[in-house]
Amino acid sequence: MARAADPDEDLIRRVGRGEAAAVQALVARKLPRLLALSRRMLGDAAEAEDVAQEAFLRAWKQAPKWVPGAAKFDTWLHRVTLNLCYDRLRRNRETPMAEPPDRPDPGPAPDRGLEASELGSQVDRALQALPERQREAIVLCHYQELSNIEAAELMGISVEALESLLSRGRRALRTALAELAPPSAKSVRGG
Amino acid sequence: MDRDRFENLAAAYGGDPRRWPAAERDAARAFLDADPEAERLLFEARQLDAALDASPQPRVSRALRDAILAAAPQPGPEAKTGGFFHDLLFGGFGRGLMVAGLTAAAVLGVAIGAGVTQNVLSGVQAEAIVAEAGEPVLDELEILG
Repeated sequence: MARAADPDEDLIRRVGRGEAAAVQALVARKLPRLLALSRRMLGDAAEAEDVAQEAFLRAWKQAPKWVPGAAKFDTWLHRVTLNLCYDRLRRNRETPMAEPPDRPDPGPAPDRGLEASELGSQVDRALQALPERQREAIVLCHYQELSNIEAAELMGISVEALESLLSRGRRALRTALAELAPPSAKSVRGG
Repeated sequence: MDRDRFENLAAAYGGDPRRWPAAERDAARAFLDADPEAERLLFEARQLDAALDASPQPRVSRALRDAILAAAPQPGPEAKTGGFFHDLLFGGFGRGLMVAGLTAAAVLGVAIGAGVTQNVLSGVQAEAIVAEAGEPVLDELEILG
């Protein structure tokens, strides 16, 4: 079977040679995605930054010896980030925190308004309340916009199992958001 | 595609068929065009999609970006062979400078009817430039595409 082209292949080769422009381009291309992934998996801004930084450290080590063909670089980077997230989730389960994770409210953005900001916070809370695998499936498919095949491969499950996780996760989110929404908004939010 | 499958896809992947499995998108679009109930089946999924999209995108701080950049790989020894002169000559600005310089030299040579002596001098200078740049010239050009 022909290997799918990796859009990052040339960039990684240049990063491996220490080309400054390529390093900056890779950070610009991947850091927002990795930070969003780890933030939504962990629900904590500081931990998400630590994970993103560690994932890039591994990318810098890997780049000079990257061999195209085995996997797309973006898939590998997602796998590394998810593993780091699961390490932290496991650690946090073993040592329960006295206080909930730091979740500063970014406040209403001028273009979104208060209601959108409140809804965003509610969505984040509902995501954190999901079982980890359901959350992972939704984060990979909805937010990271991976295909079903890429997401299933990353999670080490079949596409059918991925669909089951997605359906259950979305159903749980809908229920949670309907319960959180004020009565006037319930009809809009599927309540 | 039947209604059950269409509903299951919406329940799993949301209300935008562009996010659905590539292998089933065409059949889903055909079902959407043919069945008046299909839009209603997507409605609830689209409401949840809109709610999910309200989750704020985390901002990348300058401190995080700088820390990541500071740990990035540095150019290997082969890229440094020529040292300062190599960088000056084959860096982005240096290449432009070299082309401009060589063009100017050629024009000047024609204008003053440059003799054999000057041609020899230019040749010597060109050889010196290549020697200074060293072997990695081709590698560097290849890297730069």
